[in-house]
Amino acid sequence: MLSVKFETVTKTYGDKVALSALDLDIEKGSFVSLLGPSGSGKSTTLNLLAGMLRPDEGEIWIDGNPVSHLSPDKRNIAMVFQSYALYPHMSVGENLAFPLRARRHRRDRQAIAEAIGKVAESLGLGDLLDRFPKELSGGQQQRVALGRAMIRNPKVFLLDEPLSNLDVRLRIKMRRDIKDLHDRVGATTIYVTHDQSEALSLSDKVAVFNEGRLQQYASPLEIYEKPVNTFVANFVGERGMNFIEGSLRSRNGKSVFSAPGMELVIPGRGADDAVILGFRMEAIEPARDDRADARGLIKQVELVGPDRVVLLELEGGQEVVCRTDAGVILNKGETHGFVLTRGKLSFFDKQSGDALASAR
Amino acid sequence: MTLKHLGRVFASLVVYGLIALAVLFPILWGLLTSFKPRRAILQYPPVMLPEEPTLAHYQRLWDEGVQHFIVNSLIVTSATLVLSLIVGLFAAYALARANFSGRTVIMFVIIAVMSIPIASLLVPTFTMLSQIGLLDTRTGLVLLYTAYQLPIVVWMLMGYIQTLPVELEHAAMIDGHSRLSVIVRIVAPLSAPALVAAGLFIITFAWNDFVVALVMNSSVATRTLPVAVYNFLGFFGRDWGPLLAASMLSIVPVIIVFIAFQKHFVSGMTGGSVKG
Repeated sequence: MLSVKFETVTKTYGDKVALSALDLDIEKGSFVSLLGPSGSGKSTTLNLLAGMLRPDEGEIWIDGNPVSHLSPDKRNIAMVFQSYALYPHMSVGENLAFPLRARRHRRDRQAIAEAIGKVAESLGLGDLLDRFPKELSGGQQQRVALGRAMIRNPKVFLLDEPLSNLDVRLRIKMRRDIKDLHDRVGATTIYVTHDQSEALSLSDKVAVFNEGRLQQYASPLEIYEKPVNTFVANFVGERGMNFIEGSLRSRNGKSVFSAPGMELVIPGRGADDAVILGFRMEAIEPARDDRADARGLIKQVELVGPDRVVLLELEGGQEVVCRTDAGVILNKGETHGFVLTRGKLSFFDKQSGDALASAR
Repeated sequence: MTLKHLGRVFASLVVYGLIALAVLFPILWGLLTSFKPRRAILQYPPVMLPEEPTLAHYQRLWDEGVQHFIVNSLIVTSATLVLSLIVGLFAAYALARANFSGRTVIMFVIIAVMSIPIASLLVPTFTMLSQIGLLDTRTGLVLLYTAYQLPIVVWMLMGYIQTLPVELEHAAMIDGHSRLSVIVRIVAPLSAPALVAAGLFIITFAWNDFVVALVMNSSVATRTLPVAVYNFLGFFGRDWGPLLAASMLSIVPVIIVFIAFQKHFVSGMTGGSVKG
């Protein structure tokens, strides 16, 4: 069942198109990330759903009801802001109770006290209820903001870059807590972020935005392994994809990709004069014998945890990043042969940047 | 270095002290004199402190019914305060947050109106009040004071509301609160420093106003304290004791209010709400 549906939603500011004909279906109870660089339209999407903005065209549905004409207070959604937006003149307890004091959700005193108790316990806020926001640490403020969103069991949770103000360790802990919370509460959660690792690690599905357009909407694995265009390929993944420009020719039912300094025989892919080969850094590894797809000069070796990340310059002059485990010794300044894993290659049209249909 | 610093502190203390003395001396003299018995007031050479303090002059005022004028002034001032702040807050909120055509024009008009001296408005407002039948009423005074004070109040509040993070309002609306509820529960409490500052302006003006009250209200029943003090001048003749006592009654409340709310001028209310 659908929880949220965007139907050709467009939003413009003067001449600038902030969001262009967005179609997006979000399943009930799922965790969806809106991922993109700043100005990509992800925050516009969130604000349209929250009701802070009205779409110029199209309709937004929540639980099967059109909501474009409704003000934020009538949509039964909850939101955690990047700045947390805690009410500075209210204690933590009053902040938590605030949604329940709205006429729309009015509860009696005892019910409010019970709800606060439950939320405070699940987020470990019990000792902080009498404090004011400015007396809390960043992580504590974050938890209060989450609690305020949870307290009235909304239909949809919106999280707007909720972790970007926290330091790295706390961010990873809060990431787990948010995932945990979603698993426990089971409400539809929409998470806006520009951090691809957050999006990939948390979500059931990721929607990648660029320049006001939805680029790809798929599971994290699919986004990572089968990006629909070079933008997604480059934006997602710790280092982005490696790209090599070249051409495809057919030969004996197979295809041959040629680029300066390399020739690659691959299962049939058709022919195309101007393509881009894309592959992730784990899809290239040092050759164990003399059968190499390409030779490269090692320019830099970085130790990353148990792995090494190696920057190569191929013979054709292309720069490529490669990930090897620490057992393989590669030294700066050496030249070495490398092989590509055939199943992990993507091809894009050079002109449009769109992925070519995969092998049949 | 430190000596030079000390010297500078000392010098500024002396200068500020002299200025304060020059400003405060007449008030202090008046206050002390209002407690002196009649014969001690014009004594030569003058004596600063009352040797036999007495409340006789205040007793005399009370007997003449000064409490009636105090009550009038209290009513008019507090009604003006409440009305101006409520209307001003909503108007300021609309100007600060809403986007509507004519917004710039309205802001321009507000500034323009602020620069018109009240004296030049006396005749037209007198005619207007008499046409709607509010001449010689306290209600009429309240409406006029509110009209005079609203531009400055709106301007002060608008400037302050614009500095509040709009995300707090968005958060409150998403939390299920209507726009009205957001203004009452979020914007108003967070604007407290600006409301206090604007309130002090209103109180000072409404409590002290003499000329508008004199022109609009002629009967004793609706007379406010400053006009009453002026009338005492004729009534008591050269009897400085009751006159000074009446003056003190009209000055001291404003001073007390100012001292009491002084610290609220400093605004630290939004600390910790929004990180950034």
